[in-house]
Amino acid sequence: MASDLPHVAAGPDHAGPAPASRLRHVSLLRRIVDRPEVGAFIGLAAVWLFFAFFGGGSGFLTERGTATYLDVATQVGIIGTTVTLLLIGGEFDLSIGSMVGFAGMIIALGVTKAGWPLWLSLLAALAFALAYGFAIGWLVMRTGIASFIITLGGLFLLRGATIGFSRTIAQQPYIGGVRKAVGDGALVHMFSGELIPGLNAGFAWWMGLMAAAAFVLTKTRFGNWVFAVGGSAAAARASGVPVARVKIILFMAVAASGALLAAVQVLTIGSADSFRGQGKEFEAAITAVIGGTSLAGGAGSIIGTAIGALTLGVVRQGLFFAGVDFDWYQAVLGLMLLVAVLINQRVRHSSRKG
Amino acid sequence: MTPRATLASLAAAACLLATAAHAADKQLYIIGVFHADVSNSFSSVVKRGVEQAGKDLGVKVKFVGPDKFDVVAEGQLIDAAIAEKPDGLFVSVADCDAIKPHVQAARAAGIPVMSFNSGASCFKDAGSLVHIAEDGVSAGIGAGQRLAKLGAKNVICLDHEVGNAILEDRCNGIETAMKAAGGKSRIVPTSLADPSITRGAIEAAFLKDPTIDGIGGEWGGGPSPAVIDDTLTALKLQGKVVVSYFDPGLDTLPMIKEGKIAFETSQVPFNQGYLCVSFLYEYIKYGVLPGGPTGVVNNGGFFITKDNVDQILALVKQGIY
Repeated sequence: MASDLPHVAAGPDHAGPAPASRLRHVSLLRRIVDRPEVGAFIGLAAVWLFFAFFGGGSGFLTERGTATYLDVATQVGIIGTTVTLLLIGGEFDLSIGSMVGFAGMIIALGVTKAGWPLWLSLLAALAFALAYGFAIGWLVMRTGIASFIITLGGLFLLRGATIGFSRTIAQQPYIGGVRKAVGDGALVHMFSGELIPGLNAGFAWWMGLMAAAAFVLTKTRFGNWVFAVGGSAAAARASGVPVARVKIILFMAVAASGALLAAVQVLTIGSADSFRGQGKEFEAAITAVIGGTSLAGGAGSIIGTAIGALTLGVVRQGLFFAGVDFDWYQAVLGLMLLVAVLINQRVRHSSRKG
Repeated sequence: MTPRATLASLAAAACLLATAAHAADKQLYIIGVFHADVSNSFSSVVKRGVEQAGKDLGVKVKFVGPDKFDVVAEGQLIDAAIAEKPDGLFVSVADCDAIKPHVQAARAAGIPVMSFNSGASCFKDAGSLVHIAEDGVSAGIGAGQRLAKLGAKNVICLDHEVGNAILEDRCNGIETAMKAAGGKSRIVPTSLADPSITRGAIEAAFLKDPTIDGIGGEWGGGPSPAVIDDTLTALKLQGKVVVSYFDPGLDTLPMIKEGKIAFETSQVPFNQGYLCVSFLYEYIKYGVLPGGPTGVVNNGGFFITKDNVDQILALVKQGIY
């Protein structure tokens, strides 16, 4: 059973100390410091304080200022949540950003060109995403080729198809007029209603998705399996875990979250564009890694990813309030990633020594 | 002076300083948000215009954009700008659906909004007071008249982004002017991404119709001018065709000097930034608006020729062009 596996045995929700350290006395402080989210949280607090100091006078601390970085965090947090599950499961999806663009185009073309009702367009996008996730997952499991390569193909395939289809059907890779086409129903509000000025329903979706993912990961057998297949697929298979099924489901969940983000984007923004979601595949991975998730699989935390997403939002909008050029955004992001990886590695190393 | 008097005068001085600081606090604050990065060859010059206007008028300014073309991020930046409670805001409306709610949120917060660069078709509907941008048709007519005056009768209008409204407007303007002068013009699609497509398109056009004697439309800041120059040399047509572009690039300005390019029609990015700040300043201070009933301020159609290219090159060095 899964509970025989080292990573799972270390604790149901996170791959913490190796089993041997459980036998030793571990102080409470040590255990707190070893949790990957703690480092991420300290990082978040540090950047928040930094921007509160340098941008606080200009609106960073106001309700609206807060709403804008929560909105940025929402956009990456929705896909970051499922990407974390997939990373813990030992796989990688480079095509999630392109999926956001493609699914958005399905929704926008559906309501504006095909004349479908909104629910049908949303369902079509979700169905496509699930089918795509299944196909990618099946291909990875069947061929044994690294998911990095398979989904790199997916990245270009989906992005190119988004441009090709939209240009063929609508003569341009941009579809506007969605708001007019869908009107003002309850379904529209579900995805685009305003919670507070500047913050939309997407935030509630993120919170809900996060709670569901955290529950599945820490409280269910499937969650144990996710850690198991990411820790060692061979060992997991030997102890009866349906490795292929678990991984394929994870790929499907990632793609579906891309469709969810697309729905939120298209309905709040009112248009679809073949550029949408570009670079999100890396942002999602960065939030996961900042939150302590291991790219090697078998370890990670949903809460950590949420902290990572908040960090991203605080940094991007904080730069605006502090009056720093956005030219520096990617550089800051890269630096944060490196620092996070180094800290995580240290924590793991020291916890292994006990 | 007794210690007490010293203290009192210090306190008085502090009060004065505080008052002065308070007066300085009342300085107007204007924010501009663009739909792409503000460090490319076009937008960085807009930014210089914004900064210069801020300096000249004593207005505090900020000009920002996402790190790449991204209207979602532009909307988030507009929201952040609203949180700063500026006295005025100007934004590019590259996507009407996406930007309209943010413009309206700003208006609801009592912030006057103007638009620039993109959004001619919908800026009023979005809630912008005035739109400062090039009018593609009139810029095209200007270019067409100049091509005709320089002797061109059969012009190809190169279009590197088929479907982009402003490029079609420019080519339509060129066609209108050419027809009025008794000549003709037609659109030939080229490619920004693949210079070999551009080369092939031009070669084919000249092979099919050797009477072509003018080139217009193409973006001077893109990769095409170098390809076109090579192609004309290869076809031994250098000097026999009147070549013109829209918006200069560092490659093309020296070609104007050499006489290989007759002229370039520029939308003066420095002006776009400068005017946004000064129009908002005048509106906030005096309540007046430019643009007349249409609300459009056309700042394109400026010609760069052999006569003023040295001056433009000097401005490029200062980041003003």
